[in-house]
Amino acid sequence: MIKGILIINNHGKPRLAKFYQSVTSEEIQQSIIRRIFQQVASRPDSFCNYLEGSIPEWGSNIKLIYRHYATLYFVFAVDSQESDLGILDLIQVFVEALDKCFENVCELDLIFHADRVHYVLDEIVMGGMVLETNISLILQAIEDQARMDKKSQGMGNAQQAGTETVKQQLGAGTHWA
Amino acid sequence: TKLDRDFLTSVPSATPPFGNLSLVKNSIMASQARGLQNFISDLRNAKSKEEESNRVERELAKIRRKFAAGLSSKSTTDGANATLSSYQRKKYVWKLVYIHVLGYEVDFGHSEVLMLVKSSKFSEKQVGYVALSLLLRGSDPLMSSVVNTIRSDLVSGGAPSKSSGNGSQNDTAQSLALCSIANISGLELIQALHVEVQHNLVSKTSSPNVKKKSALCLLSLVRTSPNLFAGREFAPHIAQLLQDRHLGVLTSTMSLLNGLAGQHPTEYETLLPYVVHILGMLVLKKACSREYLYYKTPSPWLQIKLLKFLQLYPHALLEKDANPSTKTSIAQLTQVVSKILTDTDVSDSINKSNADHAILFEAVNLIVCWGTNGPVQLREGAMKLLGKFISVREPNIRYLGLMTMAKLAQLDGGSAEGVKKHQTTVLVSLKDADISVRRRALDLLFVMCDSDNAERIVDELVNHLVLADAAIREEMVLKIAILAEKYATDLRWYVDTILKLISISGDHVSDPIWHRVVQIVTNHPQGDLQAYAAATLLVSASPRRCHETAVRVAAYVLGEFGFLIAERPGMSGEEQFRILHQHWHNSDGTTRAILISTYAKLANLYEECRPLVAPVFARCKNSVHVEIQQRSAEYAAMREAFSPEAVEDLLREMPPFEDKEQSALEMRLKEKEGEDSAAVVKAARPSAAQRQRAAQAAAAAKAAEEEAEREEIEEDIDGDNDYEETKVQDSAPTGIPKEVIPAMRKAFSNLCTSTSGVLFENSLVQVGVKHEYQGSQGRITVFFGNLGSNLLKHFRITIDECDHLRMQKQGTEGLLDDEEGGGCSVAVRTQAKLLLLVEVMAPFDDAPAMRVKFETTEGVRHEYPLRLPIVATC
Repeated sequence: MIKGILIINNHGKPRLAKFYQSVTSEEIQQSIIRRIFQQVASRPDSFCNYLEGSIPEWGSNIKLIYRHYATLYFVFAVDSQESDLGILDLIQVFVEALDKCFENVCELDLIFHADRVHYVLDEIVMGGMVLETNISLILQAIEDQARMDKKSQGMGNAQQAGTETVKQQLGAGTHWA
Repeated sequence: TKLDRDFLTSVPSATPPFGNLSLVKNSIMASQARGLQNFISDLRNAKSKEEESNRVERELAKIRRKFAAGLSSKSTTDGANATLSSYQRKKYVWKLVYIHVLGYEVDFGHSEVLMLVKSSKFSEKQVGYVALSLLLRGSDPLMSSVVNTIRSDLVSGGAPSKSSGNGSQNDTAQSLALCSIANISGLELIQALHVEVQHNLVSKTSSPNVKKKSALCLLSLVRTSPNLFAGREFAPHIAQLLQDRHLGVLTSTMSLLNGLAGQHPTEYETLLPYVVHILGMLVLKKACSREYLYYKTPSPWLQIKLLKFLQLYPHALLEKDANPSTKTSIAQLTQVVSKILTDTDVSDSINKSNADHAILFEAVNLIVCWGTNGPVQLREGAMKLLGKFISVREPNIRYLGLMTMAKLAQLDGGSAEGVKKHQTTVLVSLKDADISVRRRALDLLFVMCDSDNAERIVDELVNHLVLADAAIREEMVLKIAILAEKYATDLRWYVDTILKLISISGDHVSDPIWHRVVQIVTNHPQGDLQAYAAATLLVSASPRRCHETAVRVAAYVLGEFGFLIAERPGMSGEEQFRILHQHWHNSDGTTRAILISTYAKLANLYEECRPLVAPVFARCKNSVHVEIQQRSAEYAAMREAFSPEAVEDLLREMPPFEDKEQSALEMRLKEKEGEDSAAVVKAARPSAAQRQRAAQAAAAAKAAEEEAEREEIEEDIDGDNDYEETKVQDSAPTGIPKEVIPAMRKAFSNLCTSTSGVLFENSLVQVGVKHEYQGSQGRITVFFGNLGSNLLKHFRITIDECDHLRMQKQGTEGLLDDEEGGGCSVAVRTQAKLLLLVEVMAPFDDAPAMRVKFETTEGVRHEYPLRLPIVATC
């Protein structure tokens, strides 16, 4: 079973944290993220993608399987029931799905569209198990959701249709109040 | 933030087909809330952690205000603010989620989340469910209020006309509900909802999307509550699902099946042919729709899950019946596995190679699981492949190769021999820069070790320990200790090895390891192991600086077996004391406590140690360390309070340790690696050397027992004619109870300085002494009075003859007649008398021993060892 999935950037900032085996508090959750980052970040890319260690909150035999893409680490914490290479493939599917979904994904997409990232992940992994690996089906499901989202919004408030341009959105918080 | 945009640019070899530095796209931004964007931008621009947390606090306060605004007037029954627009509510909830991911505690807004879940609008429901699974846990009391909403979403997808089309509103709502149950998984949810989920899974009208989510959802329910339903009834449903053509449904169903069968394998055994069939389709016919080809490999995940299921049935290949369909199935399975072994190729694409090897490794796991039930050529083929993998440079394959080979090496039937050929290659990986690889190499070396190569491997490991970094040292030390014990043909080598471990990496030598040394040395009196250990430890404790653990072992072993080497030059008792005591000031409480016991033993054996030890005890009587204080006070007082025999008894060598099923080291290993680690299995299996040692020990024990028996028989023969009551004869005679020993000691001391007094007294008998001396001659009268209320029969005395005393004895008739059944009778309130005339012939330091034996009218035998107060004075 996959105990948790983390996306952490090179500076240790979590961009996505999904705990399939939940822990008792935010504090512990953050400490797990920190520990995982410290362990993973100290390894050069030439090393293998596996790191055995223990995350006591999840049990003693947890393996960290990760891939490092430029500024981001995708880390899956799994127990001994999972196939080691299978999980590596799954990370690749996840990244490719994100890439298709955002048309050339970058870290900013993950930051500003955490919702979509969650929707994509929920179509790939559910309850700590692989749900779907067929990228076109994954994207199909996301599109369906987007369409229905739009439809239901059409019935509701019109004000939500944001028309911000990219520049304004990245414009460092001048309109937040 | 420039760095952030580089995400995915300089990706390693595993580059996905992207990496463009494009900015965020308009189309996607359209539906995003502007306030959220700005908030995120603000946080990203924060110069410091402090600034960020200030901004978060401000935002939390604002959201709290917004949510609470309706509380007084228009709040809903849940306490959510009904005046908020849909847009606002979603926006604020997303902000809370974002804040939560950053690691701040979010302890409010749950009712707003629930409100979103309950909404009939899809856009709100979607946000609600995602937030629900991120912000709330299954145990949250609020969950109960949302159960009904989840249930109605679950059963919403009833209309068959719509299920064909993708993404009808109901279908998607079902999916959302399923997803969030699976991700939250609380006990209450399971009890409330498993019927609906199960229905969704098996219903013919459910869409593939709902089916696969239901399967995983059910799995997560089953995990928390294993006996949710009976396997025999459920297996046919699974069989039905396994005939689905949708690979996504198959994958999820296999996950569920693996979860269920893992708990109760026999109940799902009937499904084996289905699984073999699917695997055959994928592997032999490559029957797979294009979308499920992952880098041209037919759904590796599904193949892996199928192979995992097969691993639950190690006897699958054994033909139990002559059923032709079973035979075909077995033949097909063998064919599939050999095809996976032979067809897997190294590929240019790392992703393709990963996928293929994932399947291959799973197939090897299956072969390992079959063990000797499987065809031998499969095992050989697997070993050959693994041999190749552990020598490649690609770290993942090498890592997995080492790991899998360790599993294969466990099998009987020649596998272990095959592994040994690769020893040199494995040793190379032990020096790899990557700790994950090193760990696996260590593990494999551990597993492949046997009495042939043990010395070589252990020496290599010990040599490598010098260079190994802290992260792996503890594990190495533990494993070396286990190997050295297991495969030592000469236990002296074992002792040497542990000493090396202590000197190289003493901090990682845990208590169980050195305790084990003590146990082994104590339990093997054969040969010269004990003397060797004592001498070696004395030498290793000689330098001024040595590791504290070395001091502890040395102290303990010298206390027990130091006397064996005391005659050797430079190893006398006094020198043993000096060598140990130089470490006193650098030792902690535990070590000092051990040292004190050792000192007591040394002082008992060697007169010359007593003045050295006494001041240590005197000082330590006031130690704040309770253990030290107690030990030193007791040892110091012991000589005053107890008879010499009792002191002797207390300071005697410890009896052999009980041989446990599982040593503490094995338990430690299990604790660290879990039940199914190859190393744990290996450690639990006794080696030839261990079996031999156990046999020797058993033989020695048996010999000792026979010896004892023989003696007993001889004794029986001696006393045969006198006693009818064999029962009484068998039981040992009653001796002196421990608690009167201090009083006896005192009485003895008194008699040494006065001419008459009581030497011994209990409820039955009193022994009084009158004595006078002149020059080297003495006249001693001993009275034995009957204090009880019954006659004492067969009352008799023996006195050990010794060279330094010439003795004339004269007593009441029969008193000196030391035959079973002899002796005199002493009536109530009367005495027997013994007169001794002694002359000292040589200097002496030992009071003569006297035994008093008698029998009560009930037939209970008594025997008291006493000493006569004849001492040398000047």
